[in-house]
Amino acid sequence: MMVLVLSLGMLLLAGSTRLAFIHAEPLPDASETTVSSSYFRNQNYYRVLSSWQQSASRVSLDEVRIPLVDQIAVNPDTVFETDTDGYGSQVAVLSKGSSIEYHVSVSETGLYEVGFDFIVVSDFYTVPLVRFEVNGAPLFNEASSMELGVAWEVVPLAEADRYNRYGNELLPGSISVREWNKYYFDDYNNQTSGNYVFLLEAGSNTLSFTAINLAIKLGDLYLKGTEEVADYATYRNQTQGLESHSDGEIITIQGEAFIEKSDLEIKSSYYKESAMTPYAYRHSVLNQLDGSSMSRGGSEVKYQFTVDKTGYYQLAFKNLQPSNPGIAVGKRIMIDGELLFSELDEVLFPTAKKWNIMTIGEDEGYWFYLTEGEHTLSFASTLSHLTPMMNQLYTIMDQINDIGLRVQTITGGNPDDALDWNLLKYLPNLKQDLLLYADQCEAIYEEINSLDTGLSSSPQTSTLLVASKQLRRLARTPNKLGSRLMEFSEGSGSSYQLIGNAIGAMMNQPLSIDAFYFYNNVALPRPTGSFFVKLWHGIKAFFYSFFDTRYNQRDVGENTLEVWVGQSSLYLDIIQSMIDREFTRDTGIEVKCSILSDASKIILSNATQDNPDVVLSLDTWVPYAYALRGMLEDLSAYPDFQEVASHYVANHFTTLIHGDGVYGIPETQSMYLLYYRLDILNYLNLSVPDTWEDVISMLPMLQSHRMNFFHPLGGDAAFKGYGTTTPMIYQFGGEIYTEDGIQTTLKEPITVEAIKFMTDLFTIHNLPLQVSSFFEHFRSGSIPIGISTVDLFLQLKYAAPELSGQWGVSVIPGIKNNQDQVNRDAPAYGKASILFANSHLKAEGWELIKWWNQTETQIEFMQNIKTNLGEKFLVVSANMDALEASVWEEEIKQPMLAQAIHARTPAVTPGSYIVERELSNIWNKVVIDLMNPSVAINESIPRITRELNRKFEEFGYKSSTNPNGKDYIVPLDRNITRWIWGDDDA
Amino acid sequence: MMMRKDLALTRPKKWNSAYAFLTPYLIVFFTFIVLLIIISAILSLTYFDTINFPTLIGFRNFARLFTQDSDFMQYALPTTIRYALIIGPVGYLISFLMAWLLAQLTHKVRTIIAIILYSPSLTSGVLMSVIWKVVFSGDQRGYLNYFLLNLGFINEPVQWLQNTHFIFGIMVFVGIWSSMSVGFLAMLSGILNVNKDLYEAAYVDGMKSKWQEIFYITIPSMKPQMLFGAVMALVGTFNAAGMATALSGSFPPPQMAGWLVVDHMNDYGFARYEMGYASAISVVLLVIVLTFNRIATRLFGERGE
Repeated sequence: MMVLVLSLGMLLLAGSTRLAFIHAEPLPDASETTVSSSYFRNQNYYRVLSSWQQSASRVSLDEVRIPLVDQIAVNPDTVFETDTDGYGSQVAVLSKGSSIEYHVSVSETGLYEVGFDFIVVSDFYTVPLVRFEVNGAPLFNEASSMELGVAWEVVPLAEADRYNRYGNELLPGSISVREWNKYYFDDYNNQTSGNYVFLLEAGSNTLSFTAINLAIKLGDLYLKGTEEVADYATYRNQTQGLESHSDGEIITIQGEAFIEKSDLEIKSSYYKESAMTPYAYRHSVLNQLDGSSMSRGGSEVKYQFTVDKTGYYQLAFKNLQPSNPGIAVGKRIMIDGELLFSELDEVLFPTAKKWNIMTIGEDEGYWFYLTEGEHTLSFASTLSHLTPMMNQLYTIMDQINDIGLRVQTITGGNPDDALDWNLLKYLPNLKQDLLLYADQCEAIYEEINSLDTGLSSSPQTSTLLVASKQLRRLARTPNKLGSRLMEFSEGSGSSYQLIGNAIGAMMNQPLSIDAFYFYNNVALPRPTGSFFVKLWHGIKAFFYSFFDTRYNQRDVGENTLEVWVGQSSLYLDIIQSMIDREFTRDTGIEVKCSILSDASKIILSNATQDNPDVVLSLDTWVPYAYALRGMLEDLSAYPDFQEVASHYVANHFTTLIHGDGVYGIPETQSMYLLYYRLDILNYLNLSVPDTWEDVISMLPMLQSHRMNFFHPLGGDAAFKGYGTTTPMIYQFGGEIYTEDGIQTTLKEPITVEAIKFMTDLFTIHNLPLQVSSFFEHFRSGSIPIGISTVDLFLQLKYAAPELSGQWGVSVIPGIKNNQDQVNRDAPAYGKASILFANSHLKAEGWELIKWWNQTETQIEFMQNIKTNLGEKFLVVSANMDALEASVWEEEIKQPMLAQAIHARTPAVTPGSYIVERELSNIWNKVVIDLMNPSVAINESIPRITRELNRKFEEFGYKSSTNPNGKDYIVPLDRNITRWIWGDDDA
Repeated sequence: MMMRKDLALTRPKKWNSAYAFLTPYLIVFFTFIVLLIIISAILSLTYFDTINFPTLIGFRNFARLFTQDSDFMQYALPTTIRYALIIGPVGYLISFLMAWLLAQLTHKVRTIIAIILYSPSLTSGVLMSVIWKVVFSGDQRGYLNYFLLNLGFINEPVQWLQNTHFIFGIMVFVGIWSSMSVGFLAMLSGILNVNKDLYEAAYVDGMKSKWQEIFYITIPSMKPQMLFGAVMALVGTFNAAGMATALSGSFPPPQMAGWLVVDHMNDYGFARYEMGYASAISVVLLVIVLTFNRIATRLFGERGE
């Protein structure tokens, strides 16, 4: 007994000394509201605005214009232009990364709205971002990267192109709207209503604009106070008794017929239901505004409609909202670009599992006064009805996270249930806090419920109730929290994530719209078809399905290029329609695409000479085996190969090279990126590592909290392929093969050193050896930093909304070389296009490959993926110019571009697989069996040499058993240009 | 054989109709089995890279297999035989034991439990390893690791599926778990079909225990099913492939642990594009399986007929 007490005391002591070591200052009280891990979220607009409103007030000021010409003197480095795209006076040109300052003086301290004239310099595929600083710093998070209000115009397709080869209607195209736009910074996420306001002190202020991702031109600046929008009663009074000669009128506007959209992802789609307009049972026709595509706050679409007779109209929507049950969807409605009355800022649509028609407005509905002529209606998703609740939930989450981290600091992350910690000594209010959070969660759940009249309970946010139940349970024995963090702040069932899930659901505002109606004194159409109509359409569709050409293999004509695509049918539809619409139109070459489900089909089809002419999207390490055996066409022999290759990083071609030829063009690439949790690094006072030395020096701190760093070598599979084993070798400056390919360079001192370093990470520095899901560990915070691919970005963005703003991405750590540069080389595998040697349409095949991989096509492809399938499905084009101009979000695009130039992939040679396998075995022997690295390497060398010699001899290359064979040259980093740019001297 | 000859002599017309009934089977058997064995045997004498036309190289593939291929002699062959010798008899005994135990139950319960026991062999290897991978995951949240960590037996997660010392054992464990296949069903029906009169007669003659019942009545009465079960068990174990790969997520598995002959064959056929050599391996495997089948027939087959 005595011993137990003693050891407990020791442990406590150890805990507290560790505490002292981490925090130089004494621990702040847990009940304090400022918590270190949520520093970032505390600076969001909503919270900053709340604090401003306590001291400063909105000013009443009519719009003041600050001409640009007065600012030329204070901006000596900025480029000014007189070629202005029709602006009139001089404009400032902000290229990517450059900035301009406006010096303005205001007479009173207060909250101002800031506006300006701008135009984007060239066509764009992403929203332009601007960093806006007031007196040298952004005033809140959002200001460091403001989305400017731009739109894409929807361009209807020519009648001949409107339907694809199966008769289904295609989505219309979209082009960016480039015109001068007077724009006030507004909340681009629509989390608050109205424009952003900024606190300006009386006197002189410096406002600076920096273009982040696109070049823009700026004109004059505007300042104004906030105008109050009148409510409906006022509007009704003002419009009462005006001229009206409309009665029994109905104006129908189709939901899919929007003319402008604020986000490329917004699209129309097909809903199969006989009362939809339009409707066809045979093919899909676009008949609704796809609610899920504009569920993000701030997405906006614009419609145009004509009023024939001036008069009073009511507005009704035929809508459907089944996917977010229990959460009322908020939309802002503007007519002719103006918010007519304050109620329209936030019109709530209750859950509707069936199509229904809702007239907006209480009781008798709102009456709009519309004059004869053209009008526009804009329709935007807004979150402002949920923002206060979301912020409260974020606060709770941040506090949970913070308490969790502190408890980990106290217990040293020891989850042992048998230890009795006295947590209340350090966190005296723990129990009350937990109970308070539980109460708040319940109250918020009730409030969300009360907003939605469509459902009595809200399944999407019921996780709040579970979270609150868990919090109450934890509050019963607060001292046991250390062993129950899985219920509290870590892992997928924790209160932290349950609350996060509810927030994730609240951020979505999906509402599908078939049509909307301006009408007066007339009956609206039925929202759904009658049972018998539905039945009849069902019968027709069923019988038609037997004759649907889509599923019947059509014969491929003599001069039709046969293409297999190693992608799913979702992508295939896009690829085929792009080819039909552009490639075939321009070149007259007919193309038939089919899905390549399994690469082994290529071999089988080749055996019967039934192979296609071209294969797109084949994994880049596959074509070598075909090229080696003479199946493929050398693309570098074509005259314009170098022009095509000039858009790539030369090392992207490495695996496609055999002999003197290049047998494929890379389509996509993958790269490793470093992901980190800002909140946790911040809490532990760690910075993002730049080199592996930095990583090693942050490990003790992480591991003292039972946290760790994830390296892909610690992935799930026991096979450690080139993708994971070679980066460290390259970063140390090593190689895998000799230039003649017959030997491996694994036993060279530099490589041995690299392998030793790589294995030391696991044997000495204790990186986790097997992590089944980095995503889950990252989400729970148990592994707050690690290396993964682009997929994790999308996963975190869409599957872990509770973490938004709490994590970051950058290039991977590297090794500092002699020139003080950091070498971050790592393999970049991807997909490639190949052309078959036995094709009788080689010239046409090359045309297709060239067209497919050219910059414009790839940009358009990514854009089409985003509009048709959504961002989640985006590919990373290997064409660097296309990637740079692509629709990828800026925060991931920059690290991707920076990492992509470090691409360095080991070549494929006859028998190269044995080196990859042995490298994996070496890793296994050293890390699992704790063998000395040099010994493990020496064991592998004879096996490698034997297999390489055998394979080189098989193909007639020079080897120790075949000294008279042909010479082989391995493409390495130092000689790669020989193949790509045709340099002979290399 | 004798029987059929007698029939043929006495009633010659039945001869023809018997063959007519056999034809569908013979055609299928020939095209899908015999023909393939012949092709494979021919290919084993060639160099065939699956893309260009095969070239004849005599017995070089076999020579290489037995003299130069250290992976085959050092890993594939011994591991396969070890695996077969463990899973074959153990699985076979467990199958019989389970079948016998089930036979003691009432009809409904028996059917349900039989399905439960049979289902693991139906689920494909991949599904199996999805289940077992979670159990043996080297992550600290893998079931086994979590359990052992909680109990305090280990201090850090054990790499069950990466450590070459564990992989084979886990493979055997999973193999036994899924070994109750068709052979098990055949034995179950064999036991159920034993004539009940025999037991009664034996008890009258002074049989004293269930053991005697098994050895003197049950087993002798179900020899055909016992043979079928043995053959199925053998063929199954020799044809097993990809288990270590599926479990460890590594092709080949770390340091060739749990590397079986069929894995070796797939490696040469599909990863190294040497179909001729892979065919040679398949021929060798066929010979091995046939040999063990002879042994099984010797053990369980009807003698003296």
